[in-house]
Amino acid sequence: MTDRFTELDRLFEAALDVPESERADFLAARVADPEVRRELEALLADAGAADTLLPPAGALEGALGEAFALELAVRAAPGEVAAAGTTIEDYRLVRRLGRGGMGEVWEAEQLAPVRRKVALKLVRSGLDSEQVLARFRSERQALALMSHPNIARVYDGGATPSGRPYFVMECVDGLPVTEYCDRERLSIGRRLELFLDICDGVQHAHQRGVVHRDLKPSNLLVGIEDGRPVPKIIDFGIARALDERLDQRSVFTQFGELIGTPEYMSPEQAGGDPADVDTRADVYALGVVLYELLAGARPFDSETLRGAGFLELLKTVREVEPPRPSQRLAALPPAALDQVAAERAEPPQALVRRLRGDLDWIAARALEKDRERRYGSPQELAADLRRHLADEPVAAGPPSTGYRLRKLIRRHRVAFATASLVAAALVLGAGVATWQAIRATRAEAAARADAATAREVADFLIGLFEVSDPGIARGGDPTAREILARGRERIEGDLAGQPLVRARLMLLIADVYRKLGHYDEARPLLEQALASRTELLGAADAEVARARLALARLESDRADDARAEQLFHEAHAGLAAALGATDVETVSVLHDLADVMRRSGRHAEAEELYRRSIEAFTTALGAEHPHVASAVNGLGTALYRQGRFAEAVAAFERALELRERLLGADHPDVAVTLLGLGPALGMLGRDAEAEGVMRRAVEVNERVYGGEHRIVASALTNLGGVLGRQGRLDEAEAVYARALAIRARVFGPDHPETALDYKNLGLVYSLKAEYERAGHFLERTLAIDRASLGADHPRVIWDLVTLGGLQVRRARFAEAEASFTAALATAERVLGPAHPDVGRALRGRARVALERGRPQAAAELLRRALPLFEALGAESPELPPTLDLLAEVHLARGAVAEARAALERSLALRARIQRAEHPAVAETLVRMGDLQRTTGELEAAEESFRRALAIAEAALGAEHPEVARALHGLGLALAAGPANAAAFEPLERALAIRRGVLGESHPDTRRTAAELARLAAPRGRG
Amino acid sequence: MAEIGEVTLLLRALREGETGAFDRLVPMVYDELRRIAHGHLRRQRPGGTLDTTGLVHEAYLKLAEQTALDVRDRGHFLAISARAMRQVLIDFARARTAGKRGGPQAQRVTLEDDLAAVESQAERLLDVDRALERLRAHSERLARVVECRYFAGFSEEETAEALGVSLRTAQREWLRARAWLQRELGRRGPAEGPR
Repeated sequence: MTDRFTELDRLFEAALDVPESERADFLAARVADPEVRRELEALLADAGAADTLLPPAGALEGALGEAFALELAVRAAPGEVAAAGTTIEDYRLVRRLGRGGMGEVWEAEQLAPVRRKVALKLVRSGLDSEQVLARFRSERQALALMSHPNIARVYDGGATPSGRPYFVMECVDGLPVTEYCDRERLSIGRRLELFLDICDGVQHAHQRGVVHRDLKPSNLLVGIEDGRPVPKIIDFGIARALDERLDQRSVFTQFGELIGTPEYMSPEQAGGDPADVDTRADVYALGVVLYELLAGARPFDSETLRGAGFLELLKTVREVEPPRPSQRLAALPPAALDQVAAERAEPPQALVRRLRGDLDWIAARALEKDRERRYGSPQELAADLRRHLADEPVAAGPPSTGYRLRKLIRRHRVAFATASLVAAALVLGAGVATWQAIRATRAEAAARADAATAREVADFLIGLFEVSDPGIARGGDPTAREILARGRERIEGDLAGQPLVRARLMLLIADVYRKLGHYDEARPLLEQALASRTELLGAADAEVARARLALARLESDRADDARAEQLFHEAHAGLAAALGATDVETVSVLHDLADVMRRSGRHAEAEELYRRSIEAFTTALGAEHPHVASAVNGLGTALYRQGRFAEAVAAFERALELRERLLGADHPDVAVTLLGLGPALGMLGRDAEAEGVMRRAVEVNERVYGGEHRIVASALTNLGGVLGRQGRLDEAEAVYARALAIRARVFGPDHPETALDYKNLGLVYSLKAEYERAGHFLERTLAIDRASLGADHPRVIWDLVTLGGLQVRRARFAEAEASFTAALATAERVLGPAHPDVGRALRGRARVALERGRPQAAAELLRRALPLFEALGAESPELPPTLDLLAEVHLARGAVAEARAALERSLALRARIQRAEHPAVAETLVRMGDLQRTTGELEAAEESFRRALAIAEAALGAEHPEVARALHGLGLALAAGPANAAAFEPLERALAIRRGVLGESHPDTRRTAAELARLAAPRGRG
Repeated sequence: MAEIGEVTLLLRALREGETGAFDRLVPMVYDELRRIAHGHLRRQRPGGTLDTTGLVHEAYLKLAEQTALDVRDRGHFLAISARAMRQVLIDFARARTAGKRGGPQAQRVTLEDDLAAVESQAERLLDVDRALERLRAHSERLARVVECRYFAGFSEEETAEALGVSLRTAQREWLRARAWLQRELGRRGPAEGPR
């Protein structure tokens, strides 16, 4: 080849010297071989081409070059080194204890308020110290709650004048646990004792909601206290505070060095979603430390791990099963094995035997890739070790058939690319066939156990497909689709002779389709599976009921609630007959059914079913079970939907108590319950408590999912709602803005989920009378929803109505009319004529008609709108604004009695459903004042306006149009009375506000100006 | 920043042979780059962009100054600097593409558009690097031209100096190297359009 290259290159070089016009002749003369000639021509063309495959600008240009330079700059910062003797606030640096990727650790002397020796961790610069400290502060309370002999206390955090964050901790004089044990030649038993202390410390922190996230020997220091070795965990709370995800500059910190300590990183941390890290990541890290204490080596060889490149490293952590500690030990070179054994005061072979069995299993359990299979807590890990030390059987071990199969498949997962998952499915298929054979010959109980295993394995396979959570990966995953399509072909072909295996795989594949949202592809598979099971096993078999259940879940997911309900009923009956009515599987269908009922609005029936499932779960599993908590939570939701908020609160509180106790304070389910409890409290007007719960929901979700998860955004949206309802608009704005930041990152800035935040912000700005910004946000919402959901989507209707409302406030009546008309047409066509959104659009058009001086038309529109809202219930929050508008219309037509009736109805309703200080109350009062002024009840009018004024000022601030409106009314009422000079002050204030907020040309501004002019004119005219 | 001892060692290594010089130079180039970049960043308005090519050139100049090279050594020094630069860039590109497939770092980014651009450019840079290695198997000389021109951002004059050839030869060889590289890249898969 090289000869050929040389020859070609020589010709190429020569040809380049020939002027372009003569090259064809040159080639014809010098090159006989047509293939060589073709190649030369190509090379010559490339040499002359302006645009080439080679990015033309060179490696230093463009985005990469920029990122490169920025990273260089950021990484240059550690050059600002601290020196001994430097004083940072109350601390004087004494000597440097260590230096690492994140900064340096100093021994320091605290000077005030107490003198003591502390450790000061000085984070390298380049991080946004404000954010680091904000995160630190958010955890500080939890850190302060920690008090444990094995945890080094974190005292303080701050930033140096140059902006480097620092943390102050208890100064621990000790060695990393592995080093200490090796140096002291501690036996396995003594090592485990130290390790158990560490587990206790971590458990203590977890119970207080603090995850370490960076456990490793250098953070586990063993010091001597009272002549006894005591391990201390340092840096608790620091890793989270240093979490760099929010910090733009630190994006570039990975250059040149690998992430801190990949050896102790859990698979989920390596899995790409840092939000998805919980206490079980710490359990994994403890597993690695345990492994190292036992075997003298880490599960994965550090050099291999780090040498393989970053991507390989992550893949290894996620996918490769490490050898058991005993195997790892036995595989060490003899000299190394001798040393490790000597450090553990055992002969080599005895040490290998010591690890084999229990300790191998315990380590493997702690290092499970799937954290669901790991020990749930450090305490569980410790308990198993204690069982081992007491010679009791350990929970970890020996692995079951299902377990081994999973391992087998996991190995396949490494060997094959994801795309050949179907291969794994077929391996499974073979396994299932074996089980089916066993089933035929075994007692029913055993068969059921096998079926359970089979289901478990199926779940696992589904889990593989779920790697890219379809809930997040919008639009599904093409690779998964391909896999499924191929899987289906194989099922049709290869498994024709094994109908039951085929049915199982069909269910399996259908389930994946369902989870990806491809319902039309899932359904025929399910129906086929159901048919063949019915044929082969008889209609009464539990497997038939299970197939029906799968079909029910499909219909439920695609929101065909009627069909889902019927299928759930049938599945329930089938399972009840096959397994018994009290079987947990049977009962859980009730729970499913209740969910469907709730969704389709049949809340009373849902309530009944939840109550039944609570009872049945309690009987089958005891009152203290997460299933019970889940049904109680469902009950809370059903009660909430029925408006029985007090009972809902009670249910949510019960679910919360159960879940917190059974699952721990940081469990996702706890967060779910908090998300229900908050709004329920809000509905009871217990806004302070609601706010507290919602804030907790935000915190727990942040802890469970990290700060950047969509659920955190939902919790924030709730919180913003309760703040907004209380008229605390600035706080609401801040909270919504945080939600927006999260959704913009999780979903992208132009996603409909994100549009919701634009909308909330738009509404807040609209209430704050920042109309320009409000318009910007609401128009963006509309544009996004239209583009992504289609013009006919109900959300678009809602957007149009909201935007129309804003346009009315800005007196842009033509635009408002267009928005409402578009909304109305779409709503009637898409949602039907009786939908409340039709009412909202009608109300909007009525408002515009009134503003344009057509009260008759407005009355007609409202006559159509009102019944639609009345149908929502006598206390619908839609009624008061509709009644207010109706009153205005009546008044404009001179129908005073009707206007008064409408306003009285509205006020009575508001008194029932809103706080007396709610700004909307002011709106009704202003209209009442207008009415009273018209009828000459001047004192009553003045009273109404003053009340409205007080409410509006308190809720919306002194510069709000609603305040101006009350002032304007008040001015008119005073002007009509005997002491009309008193009218100047309110009218002038109203004018100033309206000029400032609405602008000179807004009709409201002009109206106030005209009234003032009239008042100032000679009396004779008045 | 390089200390005097390191400079002396580098000079010695330059005379002894390439491997040692290269090993010493990589961290020096890297440190110098960092120092200069940090200075640039400090002077720059927030949100502005950094002139990377200028920055890299400044680093060469600084290093050349510190090493007090005589004229004969300067070309040699530039050639090794180009290789060092390539190494530094490739490390960077690797780190950036590693983050892409779901490493924890992938989440740490706020400028999503930039991220995508950086990653795709990093991947292409790695492609070019691999193509460069294949080219090197045929012609060490052409590979060096690519290092100088493409990776190190050298001008034609600097490239000529680094390789100890005439300007015209340097231009000509870059043309050839580019065409060959083109072919190598083309073999790797379907062509991407220019950005």
